[in-house]
Amino acid sequence: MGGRDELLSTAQVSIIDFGVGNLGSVRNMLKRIDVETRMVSSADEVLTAERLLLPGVGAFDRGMGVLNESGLADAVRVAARSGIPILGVCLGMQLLGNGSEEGTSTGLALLDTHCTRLRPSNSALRVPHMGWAWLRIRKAHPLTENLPHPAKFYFAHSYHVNADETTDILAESTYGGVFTSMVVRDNVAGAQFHPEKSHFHGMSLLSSFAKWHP
Amino acid sequence: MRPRVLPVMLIADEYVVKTTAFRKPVYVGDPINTVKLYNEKRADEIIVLDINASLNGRGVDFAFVETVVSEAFMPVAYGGGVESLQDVLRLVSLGVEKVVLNRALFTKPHLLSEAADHLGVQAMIANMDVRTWRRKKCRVVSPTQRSVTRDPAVWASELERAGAGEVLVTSVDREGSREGYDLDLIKHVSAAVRIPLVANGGAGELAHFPLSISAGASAVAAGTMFTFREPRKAVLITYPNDEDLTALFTSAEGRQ
Repeated sequence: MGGRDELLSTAQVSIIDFGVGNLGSVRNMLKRIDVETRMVSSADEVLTAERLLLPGVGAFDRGMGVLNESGLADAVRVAARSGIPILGVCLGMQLLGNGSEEGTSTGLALLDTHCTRLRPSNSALRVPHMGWAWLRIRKAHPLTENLPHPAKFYFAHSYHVNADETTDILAESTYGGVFTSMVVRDNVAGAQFHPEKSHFHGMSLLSSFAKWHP
Repeated sequence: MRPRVLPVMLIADEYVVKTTAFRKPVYVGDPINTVKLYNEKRADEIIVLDINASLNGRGVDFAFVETVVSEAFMPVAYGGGVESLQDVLRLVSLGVEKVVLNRALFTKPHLLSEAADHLGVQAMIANMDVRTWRRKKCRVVSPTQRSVTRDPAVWASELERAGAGEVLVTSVDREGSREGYDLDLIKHVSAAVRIPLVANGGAGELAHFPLSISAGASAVAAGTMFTFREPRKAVLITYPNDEDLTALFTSAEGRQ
């Protein structure tokens, strides 16, 4: 941490509230690391955001359904094209892609990813995957450069993202097989785990997101 | 990654308590301080159970849950007095990672599926309190105090089908005893489901943890073992550090 980090401005993070989220934890942790937040639930608010965080828990189709009906899906696509930083977390990461084996809806299609069910090769490992796992960072990137190595995060999921372009893979983790745990392309990033529930590593990641200038 | 070790915080009237076979609650300390201590110890996640919420008829104390959850840096599973989908959704919006259902599994049988439809099975933990385990003749205790003769394995399987992402198996007889987990019970139930099983009730020392995992548990929970309070002193937390836990589970694997 040096003087340069202090000079990089920390912008306000707009957290998308689309009724299927665990917003409390995300907002709490961002507040704890002195990042300004606001909750947004309309297309207009999304379009004025400086940076967006898309949280989410639950089923793919239900999540996409709400985003589509509310007009938020299109607003997020426009925001992405305008270049503002976007971070999808948990279901939010999955919704950034093209679709999921879990449902039939088309995703936001901001990343070339599709989700499949976790099928750990070790039969003692059960689904959903609940618990901590290490991140293996695949490329240098501002989002992960301040993380201690190794870093672990808390996962709670039954489906995982597959990236069609391997260059989009930022980090991988292991659960009876390797799966993609973080993705990034240009200004759109995703994390399968819960940074807001992952102690100091989570804080570090969210802090890097708040300072990210893609 | 090693198995998870989950401290259980029993709450009665906004205080942390501990019980023995579900009786004789003893005051342990202040919940916020307790959570802060678990933060410092880097606990994997914590289970907070309000043991009076159903009894006193007031339901979930949302304001209290919010203060506890906002302090935690790790996932919090909350149970106690959860009666409706609204309760579940509100808890999750406050920051609760997983909701534990117990009484509602009997009084509101559709709640588990409804909640899992909305949030996904990973947000739902089904708890079963098991008493008097004798081979296959154990009883799952119904919170309405009329014990129901039900095989815990069959019950667990039904709960999995209904939408539970994890099953918390609590041995009431062993709770507070420090004699060790009920390994036969864990073996019996874990064989009947494919979702993770969290063992609870009876842990007295670290060596009990790998035994429970070998019996089929995916994670271990403990209440009494981690918290104690000396007279006129603040609560003490004795959660082991990550290196010790990793060594504990690794060396156990090596011995098999």
